[in-house]
Order: sequence, then C-alpha cells, then structure tokens
Amino acid sequence: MSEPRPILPLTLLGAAGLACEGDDCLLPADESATVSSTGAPAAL
Amino acid sequence: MTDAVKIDIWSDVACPWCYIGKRKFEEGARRAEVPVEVEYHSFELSPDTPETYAGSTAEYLSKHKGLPIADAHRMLDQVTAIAASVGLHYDFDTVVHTKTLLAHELLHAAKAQGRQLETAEVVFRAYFEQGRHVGRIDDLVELGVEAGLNPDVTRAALESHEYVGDVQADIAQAVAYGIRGVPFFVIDGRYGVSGAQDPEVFADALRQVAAEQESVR
Repeated sequence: MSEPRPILPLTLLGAAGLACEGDDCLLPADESATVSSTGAPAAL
Repeated sequence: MTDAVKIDIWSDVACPWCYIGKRKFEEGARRAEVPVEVEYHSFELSPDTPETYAGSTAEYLSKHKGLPIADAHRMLDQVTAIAASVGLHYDFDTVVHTKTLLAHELLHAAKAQGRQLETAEVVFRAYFEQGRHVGRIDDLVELGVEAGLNPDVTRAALESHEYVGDVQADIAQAVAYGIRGVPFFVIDGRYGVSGAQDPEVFADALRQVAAEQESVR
C-alpha cells in the first residue's frame, strides 16, 4: 500500500460529463427535467 | 514516436457511467492514435450496499430516492439507451446490486497478474449485461478466470484481502485529487477529465499531451 501522492493541480478538460457521486448518477440535464419533480437533479 | 500516455481511471464496478465512459475513452484513444497505458483505480460509490440487495434496480431507486417506480423505470430506460449508443446492452432487470469492495480487490489482484484491463471489462459486462453477482469470492474467481487470471492465486488474494489496502490507497488518492464522482480520468498526471465525456474530448486531451511530450524532446 502506497501513500497518496501530493495533491496535484489537475487541469480539468471538458465540461462535466455524466458521472456518479455516492449512489447518485446524474442523468443528462434535459432528460432529468422530465423525471425530477422536486427541482433537484434527478439521479440514479 | 510518442511515448505511451499514462491514463489513470477512477471508477466503480457498479457505476453505469463508468462502463459507458470506458467505451467513450476507448473510442477517443482510437481516434487520437496515441498509445496509452491505462490503469484502473478503485472508487467505492456506495460502501453501505449489502453483499446482495434483494430487489431490482428500479425498486432500489424507488426506495432510496423516493421516486415513483414508473419514474425509476424511465430513468433506467434512458441510461440503457445511452449505453446502447456506445454498443453496450445494459439489462437493469437482472443487475444484482452488491457491495463492490471485493470486485475492486479483484481488479488489484488482476493488476498484479498483468490482466487488469481484461478483468475490468469482464466485471463490467458481468454486472451490467449478464446479471451476474460481482460481490462474492466464488463468482469473482470465476470472472477472473474468464479474464485469464490464475484461479488459485486469485482466490487466495480475495480470501486474505491481500489488496484491500491498495483499494483504500486508491480511494485516498482520489480524495487527494479532489475527485468526487466517477468515472474520472487523470491523463499524464496533469489533466483531469470528469465523467463519461464524448470521445472527442478524450481524443483532444490525448493529442494535446502527445504534442506536449514531443515539444520537450
């Protein structure tokens, strides 16, 4: 097991893509609008 | 000739965008015609998931997100359609929800045997397309064998949790990078790409890194 490397200043490329955070997996914005009734982003 | 560009990918076995992102990245690398060296790293999205969740994905969503079951089905249909657009055949009716820590341990055991990429593909396919369990040692050994791993070495590694420290180290490294979601691609240790982006985003990034490597020769 290795120690984490120092925090690196990553340069982010591209807009945020479809990703999962926790057990939330965001849908594309235009599609989430069709399934969210709370105003929050719809998530899997 | 350009050196292989190192790509570190943080993902979780149970992350639908991670398998889709894998395909999109692969297409981007093909378009860029840049040699890459890929290493998968562990990110456990839902560590509280039991070994076996006795219900469908739609039921899980409905219960955990408070969604009507019809909305859950509609969301899954949308993800399934996006997966199909990159040639994947998700079958959420048969997906077996499970804790993915052991699957991550398998991916580290596979790395030690030089078969990590093959194993990642087998495990993603098993989970999303084949409805197979990826949270039990017997099942994981079987998947490992399909990916070319030694069954005895693999079983011993899983039973002794030989690589659980490496899984935790990956997660700690993700925190150090500030990664909050997956898939997350770190290119040449300098550039980050978050999420299942279009192939051209990956292709552009690879071309840029390859050009930078050439310019410092």
